[in-house]
Amino acid sequence: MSEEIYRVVKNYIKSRNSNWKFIFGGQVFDKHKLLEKMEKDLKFRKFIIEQVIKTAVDLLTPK
Amino acid sequence: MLVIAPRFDEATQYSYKWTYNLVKEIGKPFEPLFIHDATRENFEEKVGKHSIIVFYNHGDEKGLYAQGGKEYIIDKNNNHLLKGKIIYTMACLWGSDGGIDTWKKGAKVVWAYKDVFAFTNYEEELFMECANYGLILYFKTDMSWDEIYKEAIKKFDEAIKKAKDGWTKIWLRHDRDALVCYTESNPPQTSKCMLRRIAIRLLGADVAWKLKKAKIIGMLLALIGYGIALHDFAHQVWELKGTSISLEGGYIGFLLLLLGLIALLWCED
Repeated sequence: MSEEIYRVVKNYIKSRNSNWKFIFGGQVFDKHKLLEKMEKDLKFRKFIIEQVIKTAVDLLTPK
Repeated sequence: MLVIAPRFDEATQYSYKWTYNLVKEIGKPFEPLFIHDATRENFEEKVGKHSIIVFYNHGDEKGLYAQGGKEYIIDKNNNHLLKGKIIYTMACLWGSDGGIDTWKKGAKVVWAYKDVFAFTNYEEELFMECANYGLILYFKTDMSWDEIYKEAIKKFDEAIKKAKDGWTKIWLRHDRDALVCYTESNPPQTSKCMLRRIAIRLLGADVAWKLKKAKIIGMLLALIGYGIALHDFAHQVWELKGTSISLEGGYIGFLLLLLGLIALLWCED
């Protein structure tokens, strides 16, 4: 399941344009740097997958 | 109002811009500590004259960073200067420890994030609106900070709905869950201190944060001593009467002692 989410996230990031940036605290990633970070840093990858799941749960939870 | 906004890397270009938008929208007079003026010395010199301190920049568990990002402008060594003041921040992680310590030292309101603050440059305005919303409400309404916090969470929820991009929704949700607002009536729900965490779990945050560390240790010692004395008394009764269950004045004394201890714990300011 995690692998499937990671695949979708990677495809999403690849589809961003060249101006796209993700600012995570003091770190600023363009799409290439973010893909590289997720590929090399397994803890970070796990964190991103957790955020995807938490958001899905949140969106499906009635407010 | 003292407004602190260093600017020295790409991420702080954004926080600086958001600060500019915030003060423009509020439209109230303020003293700026921007870019090179955002130093520890300047903060310590100016803070006494202001009741509201705004900080937009990098932070971590221990403190909030000064211009250049090499030293803290606010940390546990000078956060006592915020006693009685409102500190409104947009910075990573400070709400997880440094912000709690600042609240413990008497800050009236601590608005902070207990996790990393993340956003994208696509739909950036949604993140900025949510980050700025609390202070804008403070100046434009009569709401209490507890009410403002609830409204800010709703603002994040609205932004999540409004966002067109899934990645935006993920990080708005993340930032929303990281937002904390510590006030007298809304104390932190955790602590670095193990005894305090136990007290929060057992008694609730409202009561637990009113307990001094020495008081918690005193209560534990009193209860252990009480248990030993009660056991010894029951044993003596058993030796005299062949049963420890007997209506004795000593038991009434122990009951009154226990009620007294509970009353002391709950009723003290």
